[in-house]
Amino acid sequence: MSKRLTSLVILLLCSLLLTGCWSRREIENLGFATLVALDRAVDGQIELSAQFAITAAIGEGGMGGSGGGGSEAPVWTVSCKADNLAAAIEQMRTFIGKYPFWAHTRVIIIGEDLARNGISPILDYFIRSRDFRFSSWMMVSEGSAKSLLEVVPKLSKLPAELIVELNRVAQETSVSSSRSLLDLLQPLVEEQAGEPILPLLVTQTATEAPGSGSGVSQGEEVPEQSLEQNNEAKSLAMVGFAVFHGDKMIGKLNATDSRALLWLRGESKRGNLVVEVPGRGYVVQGQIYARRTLQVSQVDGKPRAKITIYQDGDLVEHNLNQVELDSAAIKELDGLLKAHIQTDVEATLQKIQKELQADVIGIGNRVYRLYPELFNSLNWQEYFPTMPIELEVHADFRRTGELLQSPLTKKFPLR
Amino acid sequence: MNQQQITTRQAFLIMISVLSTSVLQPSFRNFLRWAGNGGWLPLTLAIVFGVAYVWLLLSLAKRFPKQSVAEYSSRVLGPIVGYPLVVLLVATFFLRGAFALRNMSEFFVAAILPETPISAVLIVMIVLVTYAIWSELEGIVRFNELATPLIIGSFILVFIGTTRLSIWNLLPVLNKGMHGLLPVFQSASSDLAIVSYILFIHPYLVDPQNAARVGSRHIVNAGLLLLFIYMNTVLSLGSHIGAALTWPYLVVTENIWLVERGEALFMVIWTLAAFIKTSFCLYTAALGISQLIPKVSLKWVGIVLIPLASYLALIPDDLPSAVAAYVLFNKYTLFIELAIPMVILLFAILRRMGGNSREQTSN
Amino acid sequence: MGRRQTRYPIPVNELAKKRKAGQAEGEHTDTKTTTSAVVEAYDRQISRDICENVAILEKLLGNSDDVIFRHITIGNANQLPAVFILIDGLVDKDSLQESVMTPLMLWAKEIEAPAVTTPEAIRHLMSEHFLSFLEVKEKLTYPEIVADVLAAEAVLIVHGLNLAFVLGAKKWEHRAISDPATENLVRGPREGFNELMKVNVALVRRRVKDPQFRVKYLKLGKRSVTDCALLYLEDVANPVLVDEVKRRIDLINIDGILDSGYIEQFIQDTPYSPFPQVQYTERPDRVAAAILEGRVAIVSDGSPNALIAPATLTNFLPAPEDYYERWLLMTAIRIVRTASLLNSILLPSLYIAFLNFHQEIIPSRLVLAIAGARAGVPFSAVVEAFIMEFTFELLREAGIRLPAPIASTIGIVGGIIIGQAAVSAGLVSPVMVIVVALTAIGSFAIPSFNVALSIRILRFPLMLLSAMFGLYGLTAGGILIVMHLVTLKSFGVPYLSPIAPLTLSGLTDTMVRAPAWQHRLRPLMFRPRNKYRSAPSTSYFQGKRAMHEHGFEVAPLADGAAKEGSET
Repeated sequence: MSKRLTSLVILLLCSLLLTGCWSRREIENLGFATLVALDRAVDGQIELSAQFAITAAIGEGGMGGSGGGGSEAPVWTVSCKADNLAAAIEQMRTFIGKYPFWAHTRVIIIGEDLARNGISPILDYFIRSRDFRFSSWMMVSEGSAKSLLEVVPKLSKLPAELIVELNRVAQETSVSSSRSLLDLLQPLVEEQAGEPILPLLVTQTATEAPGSGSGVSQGEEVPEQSLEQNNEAKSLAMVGFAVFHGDKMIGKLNATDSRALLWLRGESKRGNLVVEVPGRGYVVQGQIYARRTLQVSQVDGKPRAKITIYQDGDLVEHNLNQVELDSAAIKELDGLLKAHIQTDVEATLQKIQKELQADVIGIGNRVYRLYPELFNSLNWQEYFPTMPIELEVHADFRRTGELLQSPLTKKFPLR
Repeated sequence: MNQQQITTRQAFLIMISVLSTSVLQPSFRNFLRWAGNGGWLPLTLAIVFGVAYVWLLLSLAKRFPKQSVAEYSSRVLGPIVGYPLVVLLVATFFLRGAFALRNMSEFFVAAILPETPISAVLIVMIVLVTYAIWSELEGIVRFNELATPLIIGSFILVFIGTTRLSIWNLLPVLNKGMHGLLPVFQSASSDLAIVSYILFIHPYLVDPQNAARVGSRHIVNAGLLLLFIYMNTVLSLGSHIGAALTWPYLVVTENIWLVERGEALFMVIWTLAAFIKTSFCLYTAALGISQLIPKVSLKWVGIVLIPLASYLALIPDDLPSAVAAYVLFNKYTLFIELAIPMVILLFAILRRMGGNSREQTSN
Repeated sequence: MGRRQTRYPIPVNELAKKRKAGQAEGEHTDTKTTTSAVVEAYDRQISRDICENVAILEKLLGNSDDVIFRHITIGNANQLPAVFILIDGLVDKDSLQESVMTPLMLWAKEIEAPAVTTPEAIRHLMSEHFLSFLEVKEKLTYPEIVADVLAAEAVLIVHGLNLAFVLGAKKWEHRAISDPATENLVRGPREGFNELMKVNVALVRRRVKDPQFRVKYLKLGKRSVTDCALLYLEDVANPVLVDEVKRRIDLINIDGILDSGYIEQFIQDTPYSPFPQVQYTERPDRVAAAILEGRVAIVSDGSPNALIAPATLTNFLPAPEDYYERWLLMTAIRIVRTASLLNSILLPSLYIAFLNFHQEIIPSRLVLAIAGARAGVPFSAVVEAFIMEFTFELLREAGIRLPAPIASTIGIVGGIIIGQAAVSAGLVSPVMVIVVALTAIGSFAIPSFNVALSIRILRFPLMLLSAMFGLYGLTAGGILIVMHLVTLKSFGVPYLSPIAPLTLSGLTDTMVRAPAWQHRLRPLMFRPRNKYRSAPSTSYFQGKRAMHEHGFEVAPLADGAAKEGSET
């Protein structure tokens, strides 16, 4: 009895062996795409650019020590144009001669032009395919996305690693924040979840402060640089947000606005904040903690919102002619800080409500969650620009670093 | 007559594995589609139903100690009615096994083995399930005993690892209205009603006196696990995206920070759950048949049943129709599995059969 | 019912019948050469005539050159012929010469006394006065005498007596008690069994001085006539278990038992399983521990490995050291050991599954590095893995047979040179070498050689399965193995107990090794008659309380010393 069963089992297993291994893909037959850029071609087609890692170069580099020298990154950028993504990917496959493998694609960059024309047609493939991950980071490039792939990073091996790093940097400087495909999807799918935003990826020269011309470096003089130098030190930066209305990009937020938006959304983490002290100089606060509360209430059948921002941080630098910052002085600086944040955030709020008219804060979502009937009775698109939003800021300097006095100021008074 | 001996705890522990296969079933998304954020309400009710159902089953089984439903139903209802009823009950288990096979293999093909034909995935499962049935009840329940901590652990791990848990996703409650609650309740109850296997394996329990307590506790645990999975999905994805995805929970596992892109590892554990469910359903079906026809050996019934089940499983030729068939099946199974024990119990009470010492007199 | 029969290698009923019938015939059908003398002499008492006796015994023993017939004459005048029969090399000649032959041949004056003429008197005189030996038995029949001669006793037959004196003068060359070579410990006794059954039994007896300790001698093997002993504790081991072990051993019918491994193969439950169901050990302390748990040990002569039955998987994984060292450390080490077990069975399959099916799981940088490293490798990952794993098995097998000094050379040549050369020649990728090395080390970390062996074998089908279906196939293979383990039984004890079926008290000695005072219960899976290993009062905390009640404060050392000093 059991012999017959065993032979049956062996037969079945053998039949499996004969038919082969279907889903098997040798690792060396895969082209590992590290970055994907999507642009809208002039004729309205989709241009898919992918950066493939040249694994042989990477492997050697890993083994031989100082491999992959020179200014070339071990990557190969390929572009394909087609009417839809599936066709573009197939085209790419025939071109590179390997199976394009997307699971290790950490970043998907969408060109500004494509974003302004609507991203939902391309998203279908990303969501449906098992190769693309819901956790891959989505961003919008300033200008063409393909052009960003040409930047050669100096400190990372692969441009993709640089962009992954940028996500972290943006998180720590609060000039932008990362968004995964899933984060993007929620506002797109849920009608009541507000409007999506995506971080903005720009090229920059090293000497320029990230988000130059923004409020962060207001009043600071950007030193003149020669053009050659600029070209040499070209790198990428993740600064600001692309604001969407539905699936179409409608505008951008610069670094200051992005920082304010992050406060409003409660996603702000770190970053330096330059507070001007009128007539005396400036103080820089390194934010270490921020949160917000969003309270939604119903007054006369209309929703209202109150956003309270709690923020505190360290004093990291100042040029005030003051030796000892006592509690009174800190109190005063707190007031200035609070006013500074208040101004920034109000300006941004104004921009969001009146200019962009896009509920990127997610107030509508909160209203819907708490007062669904009220939300449904309103036309949120129309109501949001006129919605009264109360703002309250609590900001503090907590510590002053390793100095309680300014010993140098004591000896060499400023000015 | 049989040397098979299992404890009540082992018997009911199966339910946790059985319910955890919900994540492999495309019908899980229907919970989100029908009831939206309010799905926890019918799920909680389903747990209550489950406990009541276990009580019903056990009060029937207690009347006929050391006997299977296949033996006493024809005595209680007469062979003309009793026999077909048991056949119906066996058929539900058989079909459950078939659907479990289909759902599981669909999931694996779509999620990790894109180019593998579904029949190849099925053949592997056939081998495994055959071996399980040949290992008999003791083997399956002991395997389950080993697998259950892994299964529960994996769900807890996913919960800990989920990055996007937003409590606001639970609000507003009942965003899809009340009418979605009933189908969800029905579907979840139907999943819980698999526990009617206890009618067949009750004679093998070592400690049937504990059955009510242990059974209801495990039903509650299994129901809570289902609720936990549902909540995790809603908290992470929200009911809108969740309802759009074929396997919402798969996307939840794709987005955890503990193991990046590691959903295939979780699939290993879900394979265990799917294997346990399939083999246990088909085992129960084979057991039922062998109890109905005393001369037929259980193992050979299993040999016949398993390929038949996989053949049936492959009949719907696309995923949406397979899901539709499963939803339809799930809906009516509940009534079958609820009605049959009730009818038998009712007649047993009316005819004063079973129970304390009346068994002998009625014979 | 029918199934149980096929499970055993011995056809039970047939064998029992044969044994009964065979009693009269002697042996198997292949022993046709048996002389008619044997049949005639069977059960016959020896005669008073020494010549007849010698003639028959010579026939029975054959004319082997190592069988010595030494004819002597006892006394000077009253010439009483006698003969010593013994096997050269198995008998302590010195003591025989000094204590028996010299007195008999030179000083036996009393034999000439007129009183000593009746056989009764001679017999009395011999056993009371001349045979100054501790162990003297009297045997009456030829077969008994033959058996005793073959069992290395010296036999003395005196003319006129229809009995033979059997002198326990066994002595042969043997290995001294030394370190157990295969079960080394850092902490714990260093004694290992040698090839003498009685010594081995004594080693265990020395550790368990309980009157309930039982040793049952058995003789196994028709031609080898190997002495075996069954050791157990009468009031702890389940009598059903003891009977079952005895029953299975009784059914063994083979010409020779050359090692306890023969016995193991006859008494295990499922011979077709890759997993061992009987434990073997070289360590007397391990046997003693097993006996205290209510298990049965079988010691066989000529083998330094004692068998322990029943054995579950959890019995194979701990080393005896686990119980000698402190519990917390050993729990940690057990976790390492379990991980290494999983590692050695799963790692190559996982390598194949990840590289061929689930490239997304591998961290991005690693996957690029692996792909780069594999760029020049001509084989697919599956073939690569099979080649390397096979090479490893080859090296290992080659290393085992070699003398220790050369074996290390093989290790170096194999492990380092071949590995390095294979990588630099582009035959395999460096990652594969790491995988193979980890697998090997993992399998060495398992204390039981036979479990490690079965795991090494199971690795290959798993690799095949994961080459076909990736993780799904690997899971399927895992399910098959676990399903098999779950149904496997060793003498009726489920192989995976106490985990499945779950016994909570048993879990204190699985992955976690609870403190010694918490092992209050014996492992219940062996169904011991006496469940309690330690009385409740021996628990650590209660002991501490008792100390407190008796006035022994747990005080800092300095205080205690001062107090003591003042008292004295």
